[in-house]
This record gives sequence, C-alpha cells and structure tokens, in this order.
Amino acid sequence: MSIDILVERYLAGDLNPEEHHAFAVRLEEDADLKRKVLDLQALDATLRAAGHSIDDVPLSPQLQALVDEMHLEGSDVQAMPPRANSVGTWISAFFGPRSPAMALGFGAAATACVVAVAVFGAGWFGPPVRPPVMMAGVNISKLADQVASGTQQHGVVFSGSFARADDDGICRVFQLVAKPEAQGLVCTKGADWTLVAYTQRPGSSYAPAGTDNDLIDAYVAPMTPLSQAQEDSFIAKRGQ
Amino acid sequence: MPDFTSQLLSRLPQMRRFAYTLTGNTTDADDLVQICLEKALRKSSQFDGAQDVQHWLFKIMRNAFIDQTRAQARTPDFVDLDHPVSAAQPDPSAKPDDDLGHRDVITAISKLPEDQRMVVALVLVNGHSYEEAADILSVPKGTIMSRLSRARHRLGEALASHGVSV
Repeated sequence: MSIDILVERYLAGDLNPEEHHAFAVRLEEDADLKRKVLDLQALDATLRAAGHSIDDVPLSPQLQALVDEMHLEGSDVQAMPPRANSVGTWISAFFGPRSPAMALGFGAAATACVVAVAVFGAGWFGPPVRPPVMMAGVNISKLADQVASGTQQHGVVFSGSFARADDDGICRVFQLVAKPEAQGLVCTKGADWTLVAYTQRPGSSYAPAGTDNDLIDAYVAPMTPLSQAQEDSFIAKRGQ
Repeated sequence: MPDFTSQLLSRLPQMRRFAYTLTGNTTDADDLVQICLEKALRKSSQFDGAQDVQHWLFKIMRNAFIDQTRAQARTPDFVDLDHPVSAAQPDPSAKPDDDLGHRDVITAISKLPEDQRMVVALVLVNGHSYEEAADILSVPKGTIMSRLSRARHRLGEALASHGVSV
C-alpha cells in the first residue's frame, strides 16, 4: 500500500486498530510525515469551511420560490375553504377550540383573509420523529431552540414567544429578514418543532390568494406571551 | 416517516454545499439544486423508501451536473454586444471582503477535474465516508481514495501558490 493511500485511510479513520497503532508510531518517528498529515488535516478543514460558506448565502429567488412551493405542497392543508369530510374540516375541528380565529381562517370566510398556510401533516399527526423545519436553507428548529427574540441569526429574527395554554407547548413567531413581509409560526411538539403556519404577501408564485399576517396573529391571540426571563429559561432548557 | 417533500427539503443545505463545490459559484449552485429538486419531484415514484434520500438526491445532482457540463461544452459562447463582458463575472452573492479565502478555495476546487471535484464535495465538504461516496459515484472505494489523494495534492499546491494559508 502506497504511503499516500495509507495517509488517506488514516485521515478517513479507515485503519483498523493495528494499522492505526503502527501508523501512529510511524508518525512519531517521522517528522516529515507528521507535518504532511497535519497539513492535510488543515487543508481538509479549509475545504470544508469553504464548502459550508454557502450556508450563509440566501437562496436565489427562483430556488426560494420552489422551496416555498414545496413547503406548501408538502402540507396536508391548503388555504382554501374546507369541504365536507376533507382534511381541512378535520383540521378546523382540531384547531378550532384552541384558536377560533384559525378555524375561521380555514373556513368559508377565508376570502376575507386568505393566506398560504403550511400545516405540516407529518408534524402534527405523524410519527414522533420529525425533520427539522427548514426555510431558505436555514434550520429554523435549531434557531428556535437557541436564539432569543429580537436577535438576528442566519437571516432569521424571532419576534416573540408564546405559551399554548392547553398543552404547555411553546410557539415562536419568526421572520426571514430577506422577506420581511412573511411571517412563520413554529410550535413545539415534544422535543421537536413543527411549522404551523407561514404567510406570504400576494404576488409570489405560490400565494395567489394574497395574504397578510392576520392569521399568525390569530394563532397567537389565545396564547400567553412569554416574558424575557421565561424565554431565556426556555432557551436555556432546550439548549441543554 | 416524514413525507417525501419534507425529506427532500431537509437535505437542502447538503445539496447546496455539494452543488456549490461542483459549480464554484452560488448562482449556478442554486440553479443546479433547483434542477435536482425538480427532477427528484418528477421521479418521486422511483424513489425506494429503503434507500438514503440524500444518496438518491446526490446521484440525481451528479447526473444533472454532468449533463449540464456536457451541454455547455457543446454550446458556443455568445457575446451580448449590448453588454459585453470582458472578464469572468463576479459571484453576485459574494461578500466584498470577509470571505476572500473561501472564494479562492472554491475557485481552486472548481479547477479540479470533474471526478476529483465530486469526491472532494462528497467526502471533504459534506463528510461522506469513502463507502458512501463510492456508492453515490458508482466507483470502487479504492478509486475514491486515489482521486482524493490526487485532489488534495493539487489543491495544496494551488492554494499555497495563491497564498491561502491552510
């Protein structure tokens, strides 16, 4: 085996214990080889950091539109008047007692304040393992666990935290800085977060009905705002 | 199990990193991700739930990138006489001063042969194992190692010559 391949396998953690031990001894004895390995490890870190630098770049408008459409299409519920025996009817019945205004939003009066709502079915009704809430390439779930309201991170700002009275869950309202007209609402479901609603101003490719943020307000209206200390405590607990 | 669309979207950061490393700029990267997602949605019926969705997506992206590269090679460059461009256009999303090193590194990667670039993107940037990269690229594990070794050698020299400290 050539030394280059041996080094490759060492860097990848691909050596078995005996090979690893022998290579570690060789490294201690061969200063040039050790320097080479250290340089390669530094190179790997540089390459990784460069590749990850796109994480801080907002999505292109076209990709953002596609992602937003997928968020909506991936939901079980669209912002339209529910039909009898439809999923929408069931959702309205489910959420109605918790948030009457939301039920209204899903009802026939939706024409007055129709929004593009993404209620992720898997989040509410599915199995306990949920994917993170991703928007614009940003892991909203992670930020919701870690970032205080009013602090911008990765182009996201949370504008408030609320306690749901019926199940002690916490909900957080957020905005994408690049799209200040839009708001989203994520709520805890056990250890996970789920995207409950996302609104978008008319004119986008995926919200032809138009919207304002009344629906988000309607969601949080029956909830209790968290104080700064309560939010700090929540974040400290979730961050553990 | 999360629905198919959610699974796709949850891999968005990894897809963007892969695409960025392959294309060398954020605009082309997002275009490639968009193409990949659209193809994945069209091919959703072909997705076997037992396989890793990320591997499946990366295979689609790899093929899309190869198709795109070949199509570009067949298409002559036209110059817009109203807006002549004398040099390579800067990445519009590039920040002016804080990531010069990153851009140099990505530029160096983009000059690698395609097969080496893919291995760098999978193993070094996205953290896949040799076995996973071999599966995605449909080559033996030994080929991954040798490509990676050559890529590291070239990148080390290229970056050193540009004064990018590693």
